[in-house]
Amino acid sequence: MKYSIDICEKLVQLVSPVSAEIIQRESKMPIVKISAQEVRKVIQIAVSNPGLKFNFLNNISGTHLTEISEEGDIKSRGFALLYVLSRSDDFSSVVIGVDLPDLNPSVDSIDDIFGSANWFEREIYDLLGVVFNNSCDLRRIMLPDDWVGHPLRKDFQEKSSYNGIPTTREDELAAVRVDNL
Amino acid sequence: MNQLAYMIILAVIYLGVIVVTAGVLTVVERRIAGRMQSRIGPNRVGPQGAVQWIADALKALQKEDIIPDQVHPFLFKIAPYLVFMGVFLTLVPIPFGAYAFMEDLDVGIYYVLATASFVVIGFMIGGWASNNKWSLLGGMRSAAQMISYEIPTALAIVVIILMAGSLNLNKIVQAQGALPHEWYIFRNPFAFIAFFIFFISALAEGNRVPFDIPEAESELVSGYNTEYSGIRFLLFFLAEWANLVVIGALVTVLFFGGGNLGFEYLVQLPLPGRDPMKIEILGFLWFCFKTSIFVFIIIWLRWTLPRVRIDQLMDICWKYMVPIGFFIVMGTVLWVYFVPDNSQVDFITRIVMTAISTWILIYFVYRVYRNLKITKAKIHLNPFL
Amino acid sequence: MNITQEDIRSRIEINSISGNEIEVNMGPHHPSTHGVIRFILHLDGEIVVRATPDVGYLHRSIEKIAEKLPYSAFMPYTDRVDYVAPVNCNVGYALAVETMGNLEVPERATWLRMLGMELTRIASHLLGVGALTVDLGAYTPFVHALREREYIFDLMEILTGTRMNNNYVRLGGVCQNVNDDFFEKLSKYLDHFVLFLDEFERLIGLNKIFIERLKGIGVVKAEEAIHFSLSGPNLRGSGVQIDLRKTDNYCFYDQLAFDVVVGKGKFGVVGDSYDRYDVRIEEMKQSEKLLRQILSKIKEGEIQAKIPKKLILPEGELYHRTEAPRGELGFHIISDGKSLTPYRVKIRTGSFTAMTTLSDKLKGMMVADVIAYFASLDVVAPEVDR
Repeated sequence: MKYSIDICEKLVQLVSPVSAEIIQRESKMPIVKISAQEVRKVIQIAVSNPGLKFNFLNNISGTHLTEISEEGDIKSRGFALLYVLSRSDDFSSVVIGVDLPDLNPSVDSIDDIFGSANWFEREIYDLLGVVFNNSCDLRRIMLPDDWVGHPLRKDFQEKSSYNGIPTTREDELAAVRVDNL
Repeated sequence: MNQLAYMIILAVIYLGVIVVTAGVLTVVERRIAGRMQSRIGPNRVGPQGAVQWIADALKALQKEDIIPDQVHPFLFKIAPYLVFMGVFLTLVPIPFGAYAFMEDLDVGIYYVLATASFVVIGFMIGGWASNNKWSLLGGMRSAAQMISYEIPTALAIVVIILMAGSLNLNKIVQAQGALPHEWYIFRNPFAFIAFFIFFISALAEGNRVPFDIPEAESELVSGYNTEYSGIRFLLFFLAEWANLVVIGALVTVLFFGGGNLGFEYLVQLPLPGRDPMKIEILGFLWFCFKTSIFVFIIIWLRWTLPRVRIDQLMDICWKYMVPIGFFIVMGTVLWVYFVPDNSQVDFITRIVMTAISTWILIYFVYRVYRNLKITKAKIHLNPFL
Repeated sequence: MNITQEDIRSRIEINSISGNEIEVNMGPHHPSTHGVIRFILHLDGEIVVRATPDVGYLHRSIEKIAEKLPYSAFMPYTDRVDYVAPVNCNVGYALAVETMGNLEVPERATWLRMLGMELTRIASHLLGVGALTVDLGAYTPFVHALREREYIFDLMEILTGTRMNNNYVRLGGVCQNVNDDFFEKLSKYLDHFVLFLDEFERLIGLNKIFIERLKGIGVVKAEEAIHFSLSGPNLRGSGVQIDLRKTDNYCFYDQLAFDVVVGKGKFGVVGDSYDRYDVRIEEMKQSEKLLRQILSKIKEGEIQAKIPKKLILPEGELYHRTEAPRGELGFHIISDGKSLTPYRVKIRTGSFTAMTTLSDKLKGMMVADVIAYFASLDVVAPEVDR
């Protein structure tokens, strides 16, 4: 893979005074962690700075961070976003991570810098509920427009019916039981 | 009264024959398509799938007559009949063989052109009355295409009329001869070009690939056909395949001396069994053979070529076909004026053009053979797998 | 956070139509063979004024399922991420998990993986190119391409045990071995395949109508391709010379010699639909070269290393990408260090980002060009929706 600790340190250097720390240093993929307010600034520097020039967006992922106790209680700790950017000449990459709070998670959208960011952000909004401010078009992408809830969250519970269609069966094996066929 | 009964019986016979022919053509086309795509095609129903079309027709007949909710009921129902009528009426003056025609019309070819325009109304009405935006688009495109391509068709026919001196299809056939160098296509280079103009324009008139935009499957599902099901859909279908036969017949009659075996000459020869009836049947079979070659070429083109876009189609018509059409008309006028029939120049031109065309055909076959050798493709020439 | 329907409708203007425009719906049921994707087009006559793709009809929540399955049990689901090129998705996932867990893979297993990947790449490109021709109205080349796919399926059946959705790769290797019979059959097939490609080019690739339909349509310049994160043949068709098999040396691709095929504007502009078609045809030729090299380099050996039955990956996350036939296939795996199942698996596919170009590029095209451009991007619905 084309991740290297040097690129991360260069990025941290070039974005100062913004505070960024590198986590997962010894692993195969070091991540530059920044705070949610500085996402746009850091990414703009990563794209435009001639020493960096990371102008290809590989991925934006979102995760719901939780603590699951032994009884199975889920306590939500917030959200984490991961941006993977690459250089378009040799495809070396840098990974930027953001932690978001649990209540009303929101971050600035980067869909004017990258054309594909809008769909990635729409998917994260749809499935996790993270709002991207100043996005040009933030609406659900996979699920219908009138769906309630964000399924990829660890504590997601489906409503019992959607537009009159029940979402669960009382006896889940009833459909395949032989005497019902 | 007898005349009326005679005409009705003749019309019913023609209707029967053409419907059966169109039906068999659907099976033949599917077999040819299958063989070209390295698969077999329908071969289960009847011997070698010959009865497949009866099975399809019976299946369509027993389907529920679905009329979508907010269509205009009268127009929706009448559209397929208009299309079918438009195609069927063109059969009247065409001479299948020496004297086998419905009616010896003096305005033969003009009548064919006029009635072939009926289908435009049918397609437009079908597209509009379906209450479906895609059908509307298909109907509009179809109307534009067919009206535009009538002009090059007519121009190519004018070339033939100038050479024959008559609109009567029988006289056109008899002005040609039995041998290739007596056919109109090889009479002069303008008629040669006229053949291609006519063939391409007739393809566009008949909504066949590469001009099948109105029924482009992957874009519009089926264009004006989308909302039709069952027997109504089959009527559109039948009209398209009957149109194939009409195109083939017209090409044969106008350019290839259809059915003409040199009757007068043959009748005078002391041949054993020179029964005029037998000669007539032979002429009919010769005509059918030539027509089927052209029908095969049209089917071949459908399964090989991609589709042109609507604006490219209009470009081809108005920017290329029409100017070339005018050019060949003027050229033919000059030729007919300056080069009288059966003169030296005429004879030499005919022989030279026949020779060139034969050479092109042989070269084409050689190229196909060479390509097959290079790619080491296995071909199965037996159609009856 | 719940957004009401009124919020949505007030924010987007899908329902505002002006003047002579009609709003038509293309899909999700469509003879165009790319799966269930829906377009809402606003047409002014033949010209598209606005295009809005609507996806999600094939959303199977594979990512949520991954959070409930152990790492090795998730392998069959990766087949279905792109069911046209299943082995590539298998290998992508397996490499991500193995890199994260520092698991060894025997040499023969890697060669067999590469064999499966390149053979599947040929099969996938055949379908992509065939679907393009059938969308343009030429039915025969599609059926010929499907016939070649049938031959490849026969080979895949010997190699992996099934024709499609092979589930061939396991963590630490592959699931079954092959003997030299298979290599002979593969070699004979490759001899035939090169000739087939030549015939295919002569049938449709050099056809004037085909060229006229595709040249100059949907031109994506190199900067736009990078801006929209296109990858794979779409990116290379625009002239950008990036192939993840060369930049990200995974498996043994550094031991093999092949060219990175780039669109050259053969009949039109660099980056038009014909270039993307041409790149796919040339990539199939390169895959054939790769396969011959793999055949000469593969050695005897084990095919699967010993993996702990209860595999727990160390805590952390990794984003690993491979070159799938449709672009960059990336697996972002997060592990919490103590459970048998991944904490989160995010799958990034090439078709997803190819769809992002649509609302920009489809403006001003004619309806027929919409079909041609969309087909040249080689998008399949399962990759978009997962």
